[in-house]
Amino acid sequence: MSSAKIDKTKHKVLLMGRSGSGKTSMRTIIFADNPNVGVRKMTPTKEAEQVHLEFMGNLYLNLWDCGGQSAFMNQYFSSQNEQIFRNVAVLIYVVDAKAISTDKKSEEEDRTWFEMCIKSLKQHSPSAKTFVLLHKMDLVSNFEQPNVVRGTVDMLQELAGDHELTCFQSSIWDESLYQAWSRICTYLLPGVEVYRESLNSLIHAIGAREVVLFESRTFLTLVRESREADPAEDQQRFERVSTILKHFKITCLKMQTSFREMQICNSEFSAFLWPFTTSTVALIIHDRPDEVEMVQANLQLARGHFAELEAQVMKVPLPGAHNFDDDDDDEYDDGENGEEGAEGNSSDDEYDDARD
Amino acid sequence: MAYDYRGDGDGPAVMPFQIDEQDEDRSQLSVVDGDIRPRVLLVGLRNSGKTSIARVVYHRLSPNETTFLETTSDITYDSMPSTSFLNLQIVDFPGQLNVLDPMIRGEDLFDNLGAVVFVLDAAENIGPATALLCNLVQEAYNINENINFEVLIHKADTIGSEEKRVITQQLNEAVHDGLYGVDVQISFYLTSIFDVSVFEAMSKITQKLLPQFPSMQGMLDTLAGRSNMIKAFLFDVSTKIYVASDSRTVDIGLYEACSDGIDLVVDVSGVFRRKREGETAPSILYDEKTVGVVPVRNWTLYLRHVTKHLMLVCVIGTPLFESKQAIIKANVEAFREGMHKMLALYPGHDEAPEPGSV
Repeated sequence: MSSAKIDKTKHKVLLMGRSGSGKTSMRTIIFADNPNVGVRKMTPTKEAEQVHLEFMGNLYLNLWDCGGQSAFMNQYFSSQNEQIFRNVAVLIYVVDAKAISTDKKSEEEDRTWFEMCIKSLKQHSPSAKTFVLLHKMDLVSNFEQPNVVRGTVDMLQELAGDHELTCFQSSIWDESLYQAWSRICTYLLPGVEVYRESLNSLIHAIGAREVVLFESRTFLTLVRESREADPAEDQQRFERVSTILKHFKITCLKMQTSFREMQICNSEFSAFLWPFTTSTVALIIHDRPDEVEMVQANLQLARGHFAELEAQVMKVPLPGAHNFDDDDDDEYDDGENGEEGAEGNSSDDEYDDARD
Repeated sequence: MAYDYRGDGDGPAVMPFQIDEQDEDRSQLSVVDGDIRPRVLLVGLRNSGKTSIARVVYHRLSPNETTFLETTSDITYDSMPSTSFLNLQIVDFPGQLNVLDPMIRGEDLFDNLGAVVFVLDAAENIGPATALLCNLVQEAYNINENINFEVLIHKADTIGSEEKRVITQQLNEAVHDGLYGVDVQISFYLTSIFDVSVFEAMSKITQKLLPQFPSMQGMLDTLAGRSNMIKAFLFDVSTKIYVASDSRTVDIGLYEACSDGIDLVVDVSGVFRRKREGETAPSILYDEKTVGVVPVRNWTLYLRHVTKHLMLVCVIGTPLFESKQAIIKANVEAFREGMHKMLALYPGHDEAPEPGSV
């Protein structure tokens, strides 16, 4: 990578799991504005499909959406092993929670593939971080959920040995998917922490109850600060807002228009959504609904400072000091199986498909 | 008058609601039978999606969860949630029972029925469904001429656009032949629970049963006309059925945007609502101070509380809204007042403005 391009950070992310576990569905819901009902029309992914996703302006996720059919899986662990598993920053292993807990054959397959993934990762990318998503949790009854989660996590951890796993439950039908992906993306962008202190000052300056910064394309939560921690508050409220905002964004896309801001007032509080810096939108919850104009004026003043901070955000390296060598760059440029180009273009295509 | 604006062509004008409008409403009051809830019969062959429609539209069940619904085995009488403005009774009639047999359906089923909603599966052969539909319409019409007949060509998301055209035409012809000589109006709708179409269809069906509808539409016409709005809808917040809109045709995309705008305002309010003591589940916050402004590039949604069940959603060109905000807001407040007065004339609806949330 030439030094002129260094400010663009690229991270290779592998999305693995059995066929039909929901990898492509979740990817398109989070990054390509696919409505969640649109996933009913998906076809299985063939081979490893590379997608370049822009996140926070300068961070690129080089996401390898690896088709999960056995024939492809076998290739990943034999002839393509090094190509797939080298320079990986994050492995996301997706497990169909319903299938793994009820079907012996799927359990066997998941055991085999997962073990192979960890082994290949240890060999080619020892510093990579592994996330496991227990997906389709909506299909598991509330009663069985604790057992399914414990059973699966224990099993996978045993297979992974001393390799650390971070596990999430997820479902495309609620905010859990956003929670998991927020955590994954903020792991890849440790620099968002530089916002935190300024956000705190901002809260006190404008007398807000809470301020949240969302990434503007995906509405994933980046940082959030509250004036006082209220244990009675719903801990997943920001992820819930992400899903609500995303849903409305999709509606707007259908109408060929765009959703960037809103203002909601009621007798308890006011909420504003505002494009804040180039790649973030801010949501401000304020307890005095009659101070709308003042809050807006203050936000306007704070914008410049946060725009400066945004430049710093990109400079914080990933834990586990992870560097890309020249090989990787060549590969990126050649992009064998790749679907090159910004996700912005492909998102439109996918959206059209979903609408038909 | 504070907003003494006389309107220079395109601008909005002040719209005072006069009391004599209410006098007109009073004359309609005699037609209204306040005590009997309008009844809607959901009927059709097995597995056509009747219960799913009722659950999704009236009880906000997520469409993907309808796969878990069991076959309805008995006639079910379903009431509206108490959070709804609508006060309908839904009779869910299972497909395996013979609706044509008076012993099974109950002698008086058609007597005070508002509408028959016949559901048929767009992906199935329409022959058996059409036969049942024709017999049912004939029988019900003989008993009660005032019933509205509505046909939902359901699960329309499973067929292509050409098939939609063909099936609508086939059905039209079949019904025309089957009911030759019977002077009855039947409306057809292509619907699916996976998009907004079923809500739009049920909105139109419901509007025909609402005694307040003509007054509401008239008032919305005045509001939209005077304020130069692109469209104005009055929504039932809990079901997202629009109980009225101004009389211009409804663009389904715009309806969806407005309906999702309500979700946006109500859901975001609910998430950040201060929890009262002892409360665990997230609850709704929708009170008389509720206002939402959502600019989406060239037009702006302006959402405003009207009553504890009803919300006004206006679509206004963004430049117009930005420059004439004060007048538009004043007009909307005048509209709210007018609505409160009008609704107070109807018995059975506790729609008076009250402090605090729902």
